[in-house]
Amino acid sequence: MSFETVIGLEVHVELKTNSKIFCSCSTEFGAPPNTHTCPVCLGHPGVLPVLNKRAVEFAMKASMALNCEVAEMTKFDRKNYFYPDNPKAYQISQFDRPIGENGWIEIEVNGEKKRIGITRLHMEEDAGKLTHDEEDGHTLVDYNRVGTPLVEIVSEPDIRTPEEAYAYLEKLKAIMQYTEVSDCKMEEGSLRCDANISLRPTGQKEFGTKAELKNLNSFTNVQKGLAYEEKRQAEELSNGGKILQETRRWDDAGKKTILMRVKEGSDDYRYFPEPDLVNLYIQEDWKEQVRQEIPELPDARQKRYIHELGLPEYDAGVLTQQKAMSDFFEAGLKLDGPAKPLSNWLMGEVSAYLNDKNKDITDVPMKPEALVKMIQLIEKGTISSKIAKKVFKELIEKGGDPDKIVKDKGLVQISDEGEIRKMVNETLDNNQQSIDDFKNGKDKAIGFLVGQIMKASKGKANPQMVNQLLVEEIKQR
Amino acid sequence: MELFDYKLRDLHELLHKEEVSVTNLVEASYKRIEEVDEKIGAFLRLNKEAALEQAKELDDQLKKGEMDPADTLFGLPVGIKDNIITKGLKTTCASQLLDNFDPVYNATVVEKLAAAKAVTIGKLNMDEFAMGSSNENSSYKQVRNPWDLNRVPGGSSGGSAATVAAGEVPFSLGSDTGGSIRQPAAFCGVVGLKPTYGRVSRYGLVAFASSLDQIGPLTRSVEDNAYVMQHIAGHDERDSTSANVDVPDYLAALDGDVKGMKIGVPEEYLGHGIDEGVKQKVNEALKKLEELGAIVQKVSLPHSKYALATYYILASSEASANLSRFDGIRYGVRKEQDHLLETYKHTRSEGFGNEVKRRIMLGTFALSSGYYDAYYKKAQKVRTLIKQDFEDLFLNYDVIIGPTTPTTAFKFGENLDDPLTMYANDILTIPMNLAGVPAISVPCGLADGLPVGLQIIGKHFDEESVYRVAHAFEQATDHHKLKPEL
Amino acid sequence: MIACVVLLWYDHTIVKRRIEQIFFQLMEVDVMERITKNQVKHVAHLARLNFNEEEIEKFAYELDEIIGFAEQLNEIETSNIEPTSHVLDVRNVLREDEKKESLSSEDAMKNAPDQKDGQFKVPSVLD
Repeated sequence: MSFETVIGLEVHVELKTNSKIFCSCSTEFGAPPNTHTCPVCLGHPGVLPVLNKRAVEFAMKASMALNCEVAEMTKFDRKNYFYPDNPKAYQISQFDRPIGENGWIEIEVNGEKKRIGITRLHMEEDAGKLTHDEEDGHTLVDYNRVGTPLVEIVSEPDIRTPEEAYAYLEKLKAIMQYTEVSDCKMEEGSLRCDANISLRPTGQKEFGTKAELKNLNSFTNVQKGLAYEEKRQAEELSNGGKILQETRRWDDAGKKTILMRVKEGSDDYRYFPEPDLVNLYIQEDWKEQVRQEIPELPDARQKRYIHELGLPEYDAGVLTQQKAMSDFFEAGLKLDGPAKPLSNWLMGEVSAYLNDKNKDITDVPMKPEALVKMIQLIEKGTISSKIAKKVFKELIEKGGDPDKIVKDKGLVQISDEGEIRKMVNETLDNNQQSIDDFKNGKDKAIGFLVGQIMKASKGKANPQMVNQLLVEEIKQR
Repeated sequence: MELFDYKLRDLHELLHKEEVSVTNLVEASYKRIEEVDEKIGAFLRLNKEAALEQAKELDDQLKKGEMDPADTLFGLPVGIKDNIITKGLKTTCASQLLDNFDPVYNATVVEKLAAAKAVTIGKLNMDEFAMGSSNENSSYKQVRNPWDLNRVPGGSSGGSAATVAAGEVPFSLGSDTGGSIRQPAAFCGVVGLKPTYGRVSRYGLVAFASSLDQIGPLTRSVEDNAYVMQHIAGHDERDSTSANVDVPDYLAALDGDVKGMKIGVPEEYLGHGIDEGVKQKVNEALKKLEELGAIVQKVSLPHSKYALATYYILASSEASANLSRFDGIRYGVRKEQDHLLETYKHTRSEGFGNEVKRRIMLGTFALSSGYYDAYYKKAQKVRTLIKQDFEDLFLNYDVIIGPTTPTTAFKFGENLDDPLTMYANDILTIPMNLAGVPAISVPCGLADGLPVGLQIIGKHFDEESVYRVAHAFEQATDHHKLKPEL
Repeated sequence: MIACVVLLWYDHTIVKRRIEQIFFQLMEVDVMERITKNQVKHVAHLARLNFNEEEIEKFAYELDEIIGFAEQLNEIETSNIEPTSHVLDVRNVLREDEKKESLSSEDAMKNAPDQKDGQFKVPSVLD
């Protein structure tokens, strides 16, 4: 029996405001426990929430960037549940009138484009952080994070493969970063994802019973978790088993999903309108004002790179995936950096380095000016591309000015014919065997000789000239 | 004449002229408390040391001529209901769950009183979390009605009303969700105002039903009430539901002129279930107002009879969420068990009294899956109709008048014998909370030796008309001069 | 009907309630129909309250009565009526995104029933 996979994602994104959504405490990450708290976010008796305007505008921006309709009237509701990270025992959220609805984003998997629908985007407050105290088996609660503004973005069940889920998340993250409403740092919890997955026999209309996956702390784990779950459910169904509506946790060490709890009916959150907050009416002029602040989004940038800069579609896609990378590229273009080489460096050496070190482009000291200047040095022939790799290593690790690095380290390319001819002859003098080999038809010998010459020049000799002069000289022997 | 028989404005004058000192006033308050509060039970907690120290400081300022005439509450003793948050002064809502709760901030009204240099005497007894109409639900002790110690003072602001009636403090603050200021004011023969919803900041009022709660003053006279209201009213950025509407000069409205004012008297409020004694006093009051030139006409509030059901569903639902934060995690008396779930359950079951648990259960049920539309949403719709009743009447009338309560203060336990009376009791005050309109209770004489309250209801933000009529009536009669003998 | 509803707000003994139930049954009035004891247990759990069997029975009775009482609202046609959540039409109350000082650590933890290293300590959430 063949199955079709149905995936829906719920993504929580923390908004990058200065203060919390309902009080004036800082939202800064990493402060000592409970030092960013006040009576309001601690849920003391008698306190009242007051809505942060920027949080609303960020939610509007996010909605617009995700092609959602922004509500003319939106409101807040109380979601009731007891848990130590939820100080009022209700979370202020949005139930039936979310700020954004009916959006979509476009993803691309294996060269195929697809639209994924977005059901809704709503605002809510974040919860506190719980840590398990190993010492005596208690739980410790830090309320610094309580009240950080969140948007929850719920996708339609349009996703059909774990790869699509991955692509959706990448695109969503890119859009959030482009609009600058969030850092989307999964490691700091500013982007979190839960996934719903169910299988149905191919051709069937009704959805199967879904499982909810939690603890997916990276996009890769979302993909892995879904892939595992897809397989597990298919096996279960093929063996005549039943899928229970359950919550499962991704166990990264065991590379599998683990049952957390079986859901009995739906949770009873007793939503009702938050009496402490008034309704929010969003007029056209306010929407327009916010719309003006939305910068060029990844899809538009990608198109521009293809059509105006002549970059291949793939390259344009990769470059625009992360705002920081794309911004770096843009800065380079502004400094008259040549588009194609700049793109090649960013997609090649730069990305390789960042992936290896698990860093963002904003984390390294290399500035766009430096990369552009280095490329210009290559194009002028001042340094060879081989030398450039040395310069690049210096730049990305320590930063600085390529001119100065080249000068200080004496890395300028040797293009003086006499000097190179001298090196060629010295090498030939010492390698009679290679000359003989070459004359006996072994072309490979020439490669060895080039290597020797480059080595002798400490890599600085102009490789084209070395080649040319070597052929000339060897023929004369 | 006792010190607290003076109007607040006169006390302010006496202080200004240095004929009395703040210390005199504060000491007089504590002396009276010492004399009678064992009988009355109005105070849960006194602020004696800090109050006397503050009195000394204020007296120093007086002597140096540094008293700012704008601080009209300068040195005046006030009692505060125990569901209003006072920094550094325990606030328990008369609940065992909050027995140890020591607040780290001040309610906006408390800040306003402090800015006007009033002196907090202590925290006043109440029904636990403001749920009740007789003060029998305090987890600490009973409040007794100064007019008859065998009778209830009303509730939930029973302490706030009894303390003013007993002359312990010249004014107090209470809160009103379904009549909790007006009903005890009526039972204790004092003046109590429930302001327009949104007129006084709720920041720092421990929420019972957020869409109904309002803080208001309880005083010996209408003038005193307006005098205090002037200070506590106004927009507060910390309360999103507080209205950004200018606060008029309430005292200026007290000119005694009600000529030509149109008064509507809902037939539902003087019909079946209202005591004859109460009816008589209210009718006398209406006659008096007619004599003063007001036009009194019978009107109808047709949806009033649905107010009680509407109120109990909405108030209990909101309360069920508002009281969820009392979980023993961050504050309050935790009853720790091995497991988290049991810790929650023990903390709440042992910390809350029966009435509170009953309402939490009702509210939780009304909001629960499958029942929300039938009960909560339905009640919200009926609330719209109840509100519209008032809006319709206020197109033609300046104020609406009726009794505050259908009976005078009942005896402890007496309500058990005649619950129908209790039902009607609530229905006269609840509709105003549902409609959000301001309403005052002023004494309109005694029936069988017990005070009767006259309720005067106004349009949204028209406390002025309410005060105008209340003051004109008060000044034309001697009811407010009656005092209980203790 | 009204009378029995109002009775709810007072603490009657279970015995008294039983007598009432029997009375209503004799009068052929439906009692204990709408709310079961299991529902009461469910609601109590949602509200994080513990009750013994006797109390559960009492609440089943009371909630049932209240629901019956609330049903009088069904007399009113409200299909075209907007629900009122806020009695005033106040809109768009917003504050600027400005940071202000938080509580001192001491004040934040002042009322903590139990604490460790500046954090609130509670029984384990892992069971």
